[in-house]
Amino acid sequence: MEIHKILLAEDEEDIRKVAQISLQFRGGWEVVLATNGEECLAKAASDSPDLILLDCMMPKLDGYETCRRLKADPSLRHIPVIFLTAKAQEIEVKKGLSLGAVGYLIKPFNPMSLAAEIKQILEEQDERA
Amino acid sequence: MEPQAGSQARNMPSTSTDPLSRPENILDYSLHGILVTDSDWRIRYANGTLLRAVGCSAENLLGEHLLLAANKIPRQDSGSELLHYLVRLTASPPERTESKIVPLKLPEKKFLHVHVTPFCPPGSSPGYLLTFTDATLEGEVDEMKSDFISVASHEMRTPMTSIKGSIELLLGGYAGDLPAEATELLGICLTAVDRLIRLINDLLDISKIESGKMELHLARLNVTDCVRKSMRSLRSLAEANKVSIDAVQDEPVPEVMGDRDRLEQVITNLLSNALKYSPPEKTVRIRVTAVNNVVRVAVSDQGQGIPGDQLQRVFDRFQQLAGAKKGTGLGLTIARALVEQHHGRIGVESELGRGTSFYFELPTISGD
Repeated sequence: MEIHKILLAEDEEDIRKVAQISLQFRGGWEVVLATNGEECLAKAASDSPDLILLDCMMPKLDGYETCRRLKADPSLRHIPVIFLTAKAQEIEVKKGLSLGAVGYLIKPFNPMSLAAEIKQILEEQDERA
Repeated sequence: MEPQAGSQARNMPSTSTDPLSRPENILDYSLHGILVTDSDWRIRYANGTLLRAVGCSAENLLGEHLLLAANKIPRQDSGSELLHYLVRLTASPPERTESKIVPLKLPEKKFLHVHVTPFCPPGSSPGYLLTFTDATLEGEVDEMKSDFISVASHEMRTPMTSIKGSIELLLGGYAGDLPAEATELLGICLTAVDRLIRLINDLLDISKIESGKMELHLARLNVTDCVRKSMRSLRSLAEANKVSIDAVQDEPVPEVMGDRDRLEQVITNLLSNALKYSPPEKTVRIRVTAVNNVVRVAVSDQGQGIPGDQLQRVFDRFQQLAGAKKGTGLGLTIARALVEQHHGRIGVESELGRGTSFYFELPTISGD
């Protein structure tokens, strides 16, 4: 799958900034930012991203609920979602995948390999499809 | 002193009919619950404090095996941590005094400090002395401390992540080519940040374990699988230190109930310590044996050994020994907590100049 625009939903400003730089610098992608779940839903509709990176723990609407609503919306459900989770907790990860996410990335991520990991998740997704 | 109490004390006859002339009777006034068993864990004595606490009469307990007695008492601890501890204790009896703070799930939340001492008086049969002391206050203070550490480390982790990410971007060329000096300094920053992140993760592990919030994902497993995986992950450290690993195991090794990742974490910790402290060109041996309903994993190095006065402190927090290699000082504390959460036991034996052996034992699945 070809990506041009990524919607990044993350409430921590510093991490958002580092991830944004990393996605632009290493992936060459356009990045749209959201700071909480509600904003993420709004920008998913207005900016038509090719991929959504979704932090699990966010104010207003957490990542899980945001994902559930994205997948319930016929006009948004086709956008692949990758979760950003603080820890590789098996239960958390399963919860994310059961909501329709294509994969997850564990924080702290290495900004130099973030883009490569995203590409890998999407390739695996294509192979399964 | 009240006059009445004073006169009572004065009138107390000092003959053998004095109820307090027998030490057993005095012990009924102890703040500690006291239990004496024979070497087969049959109860020979229980003081009044213990009987009152468990709501049992002496006749009900005397002669009974410790575990049967524990099942019989009317006031049961629904968390059954104490029972698990006693099962573990009787399965692999201690050779010297050991103690443990056990959380109880009673309506009034409590912690119990249990001491177990084997004894062998001359001219009499051997046995065990068990004392039970209320440790609710210590337990609660400990919980507050754990909560604080947990919150503080969570708060520290996020900025650490940003610092690390920024350094990695700079080193990765985001700001263009850097002068060699800048690259070197950023490299130092990165190493230091990595160490801080490890420390924070270890602190989080500790606080989670100590507050009982660490959830184990238990499954039947063979510890030799965990050993194999740990060995694989440490291959490069072994090669870098020029140390070979020799793995020996009993066949077959009975299964245990355990959390695969966490047991691997314990083995990896013991094994990486052994590799770090082993002299080059020597062998670290990891041995898995099955004896008396326990599976024992022992990791031995041929290093310089640990002096006796430091040996029992190695599991305490931040107790890095003289000459310790860079670590967080929490690895063994976490290992001990994880083993104990598996209802197992961890220990160490060392001989100066000969080497050190760390081991842990886990109960096998009963009925096997």
